[in-house]
Amino acid sequence: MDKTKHIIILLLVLMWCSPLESAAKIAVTTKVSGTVDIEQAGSSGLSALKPGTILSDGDRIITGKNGFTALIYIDDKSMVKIMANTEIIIKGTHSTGSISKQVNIDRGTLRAQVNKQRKGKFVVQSSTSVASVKGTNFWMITDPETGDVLIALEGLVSLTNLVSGETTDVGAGTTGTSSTDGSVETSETNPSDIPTDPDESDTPINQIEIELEGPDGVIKTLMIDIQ
Amino acid sequence: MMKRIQIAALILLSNLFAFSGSYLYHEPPLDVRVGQDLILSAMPVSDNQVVEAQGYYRIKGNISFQEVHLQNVQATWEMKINGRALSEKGLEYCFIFKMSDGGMLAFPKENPLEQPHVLVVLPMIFPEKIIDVIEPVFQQEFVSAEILILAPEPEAEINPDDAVIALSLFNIPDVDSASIRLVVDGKDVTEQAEISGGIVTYIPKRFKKGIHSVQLTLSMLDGTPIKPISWTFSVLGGLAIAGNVDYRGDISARYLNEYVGENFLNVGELRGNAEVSVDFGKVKTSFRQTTRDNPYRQPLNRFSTALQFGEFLDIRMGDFYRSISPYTLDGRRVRGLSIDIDLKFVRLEVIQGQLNRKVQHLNKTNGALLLPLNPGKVDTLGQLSFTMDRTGYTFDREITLARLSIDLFSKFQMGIHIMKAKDDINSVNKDISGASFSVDSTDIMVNDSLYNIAVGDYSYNSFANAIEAVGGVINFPDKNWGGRTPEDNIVVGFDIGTVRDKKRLKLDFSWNFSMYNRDIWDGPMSLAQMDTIIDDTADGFIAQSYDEDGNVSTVGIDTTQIPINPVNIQNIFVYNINTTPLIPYDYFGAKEFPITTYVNMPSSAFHFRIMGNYRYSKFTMVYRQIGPEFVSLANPYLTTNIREFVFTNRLALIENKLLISATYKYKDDKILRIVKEPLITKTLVASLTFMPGANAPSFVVNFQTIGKNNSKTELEKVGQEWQDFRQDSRTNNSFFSVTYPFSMGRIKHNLNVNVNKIVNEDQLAGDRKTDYFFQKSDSKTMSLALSSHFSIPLRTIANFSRTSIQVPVQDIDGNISANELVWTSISGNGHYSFFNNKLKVNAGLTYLTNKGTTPISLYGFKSGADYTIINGMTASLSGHVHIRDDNSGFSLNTSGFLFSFRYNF
Repeated sequence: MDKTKHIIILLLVLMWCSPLESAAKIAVTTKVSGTVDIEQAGSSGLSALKPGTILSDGDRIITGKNGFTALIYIDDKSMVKIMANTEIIIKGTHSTGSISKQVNIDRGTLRAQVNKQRKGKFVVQSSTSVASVKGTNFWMITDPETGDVLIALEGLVSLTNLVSGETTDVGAGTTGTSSTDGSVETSETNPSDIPTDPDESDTPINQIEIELEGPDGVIKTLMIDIQ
Repeated sequence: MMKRIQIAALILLSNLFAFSGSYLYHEPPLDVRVGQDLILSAMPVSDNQVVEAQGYYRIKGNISFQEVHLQNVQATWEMKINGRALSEKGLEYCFIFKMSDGGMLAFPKENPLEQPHVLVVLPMIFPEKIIDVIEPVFQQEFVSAEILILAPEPEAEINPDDAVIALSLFNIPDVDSASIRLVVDGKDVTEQAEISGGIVTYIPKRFKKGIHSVQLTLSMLDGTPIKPISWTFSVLGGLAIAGNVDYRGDISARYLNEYVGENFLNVGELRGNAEVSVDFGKVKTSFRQTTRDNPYRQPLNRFSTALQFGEFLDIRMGDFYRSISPYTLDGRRVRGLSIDIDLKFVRLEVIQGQLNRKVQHLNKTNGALLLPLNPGKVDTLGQLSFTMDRTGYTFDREITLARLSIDLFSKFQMGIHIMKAKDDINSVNKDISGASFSVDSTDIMVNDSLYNIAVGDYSYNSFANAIEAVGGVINFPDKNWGGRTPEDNIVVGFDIGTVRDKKRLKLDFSWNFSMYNRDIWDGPMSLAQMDTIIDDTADGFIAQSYDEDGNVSTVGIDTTQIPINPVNIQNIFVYNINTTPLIPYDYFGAKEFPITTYVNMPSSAFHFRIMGNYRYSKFTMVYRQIGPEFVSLANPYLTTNIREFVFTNRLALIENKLLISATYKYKDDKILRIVKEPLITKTLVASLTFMPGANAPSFVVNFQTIGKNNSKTELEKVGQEWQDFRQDSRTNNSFFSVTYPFSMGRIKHNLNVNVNKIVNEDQLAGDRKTDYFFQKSDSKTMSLALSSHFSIPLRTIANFSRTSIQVPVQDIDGNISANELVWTSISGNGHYSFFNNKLKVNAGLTYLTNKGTTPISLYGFKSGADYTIINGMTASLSGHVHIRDDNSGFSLNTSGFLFSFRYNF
């Protein structure tokens, strides 16, 4: 009888404690447009992702044809922007004063704007490659059939092909290609290959300067702010 | 510097007087705006005299302070800051008073120069902007803490849809959640905010256009207040959006010179891309000009422009590649116009353009005009004539496609589409000036009489003169030429789909039907002509049959009951005797097997598909059937006459490190009931991929088995001999790969080993005659690759591979043996970078040899360099040579060089 009683108490304690073991909260969605779904860790089924949603370790995000979302980590404001037709799982574990971050991307395109990490590295992993950084800004385009394309905009990204184990460093202005056949290549980035960031709000208002020379040789500059 | 040290020392000393009762009273101002002069005042409360009163300020984020001597105004000391010196970035300031007793008073009290007080500075007032009042920042004993503003950034300009307020308290332990107070535009919204896990989020129902303020106050668990944080942001709206203009592009040129098999190939090419984007849309344009383009083939030059306005409108002009469905247009190039209007719940896609451009003739003798076989004849009146034919042409093929679809609540989708593709008969000219054709002796032989016409090449006029000289004429018809026949095609269809199980399960069904006319030279037929398309009896009925007594044995289709006259719809589709299907479905079979008949119409194509997308498993189950007479001229490579069932599933375990996938496919060609012996193909694929992580070995194992059976069970008699046409074979394809990374000193290596084996089995081998020739070849391949990454910018790759193929052969006596062909290749390549990757050079050697009936060895060398002239501008040069060694000795096999130049902007 005592044994049964203890088991019941233990079960009740476990049931009581189970909410405390919910996945750690690691990020917030700041923007959502188009079709974007979330499958929250530990729950089944997809639901529409909304701006301001607090994301937890293991949450899966799927964007549709016109989908876009931006999420921001709560410890250092590192940002991940997820483009259309992309599927990711956002992961992160709390450690002292920081979050160890990882994004598993199944397919699609993301942009990671990673602030300098206090501990460890920010990792983006696909079925073909692992990209790890301390702090940088890069695009990752994943196709499970062909492999990954990593376009570094700032800093240095370490790109490892999981098939061959080969690693290369991808610096700013270069593109790393990691293929499912195990090859890893780097080349100069073609600007037209850089995906368009729909959330590119950091760009200052553009200004056109036109120099006008008068008959006396005096040059005057006409400045037009483009809005 | 010395001054800063002195001040710091004074601050330390001032702490000694912290209990003296002296303090500095200062209330930070409200409503500080750019353009409005700011007066900051402080009042020391002390028994001692002020010796020196200094104020310091700077734009937030700047390194240097402006130092100001405070002016004594009655009991207070003031610092005036010009409004034009203020910035929306904010203002950092502090006061430091030296007192007569040697002490010091400061605001902020601790480390005023290191942690100055921060004022929010609002933008300059414009008439349309609404000023929102920011609550005062209380001057209390605050503790500093790192509150992260996640969104919106201070001073950010955001769209109304992006209005999410989010803050992180991750870096502040021991926050009293109950103390958190969020004020937006002066209104306490704490109850509407979500506060969880150290995150504060608030999503307003609606933000008006203009400036908005946010303030967060909170305290520690012990009640100590945390220094509040406040900031402002602007919400944009309407056409007042200040757009960002972005542009980029590239232009490149390349020249290729290649020698292949005694032929030289010279190709020059110019490419360019440009994109200009603003907030609400973008324009992309690209082109390719190549010397390979010529009027005798389909265009290789490309021009395209795309206009995209958000997610709602996509317009493409020039060359584009759209994919509507596998049964209509599926990625083939179209030159024309594409409009895609997507309003989420309803979508309209319209495409109009050209699939093929007209080609008038080929650039060779007999490339436009020719004499057909036995061109000459003498009619009953004794008139000699020679028939001329037209060849070497391609019609303009126009396409029009429209698709309308709806999406209800992202759960139910439905669409209809229609596609028409038709050749333009009038696009090809009959007369081609300068065209030549050959005339040989057989052409001028008519009814065993050889006419006095010289053999050789002629133009149309010169041949007409030669014919006229022997009393003949040329018969050159205006249509029904021997070259390509003009075609017409129409495809209609619909699709429906639904999403279930919280979007994890997707089901869709698509059905299509085609009408195809393989020859529209003669235009449409009349209803009267339709009477005899199947039977020869002009009785007003299609396919009506009669018994010996003239009684109707099978009732046909009454032509008077056909609602559409083909002549009236010729602009939509040209229906005549060359149409497939003549009758869209089995008219007679439908009475006996109605469902089967409609489903299995030979001109229909459909699929039913279920797709599951679960966390660990992704599966697809599809049944597809494409009738033997289904035709889409926009997708000519679609495999027809198949029905297949495919199930595939992929399991991703251990965080995608272990992938297990399996596929089963069944395929046959038994769509029509008349097919008695279908060819059945069953395929089973299983693969396992284990990639534990970087610097760890990875493994791939793949096994595929394909069984083919043509359903024949008996031998067939051909002439006097029995032939064995039975097929029951199995092909087993196994593949294993392992990659092992390792290091030797500072050199990182990766060793990759691949083994592949293909074995074919005749399942009927024990039931056949000994001289039966099973023609399939077995093969084995083994390859090794070692790539090395050195600490210097050198990277090398060495490869070795060996492939052996067992080719079965049968001699004239019926004896069967196997010839073994063995190919062995060895190669080495290296890349080296100079001047910090500005110059990259590469070189490689290859050796390839084979053992078999015709031994050949190939020796190859290649080399190249890429040079970055300036940032974004690169020039490349590469070349290769392959020497062939065979029975006749050494010879040049191929060689070439490529020069390219690229500029990115």
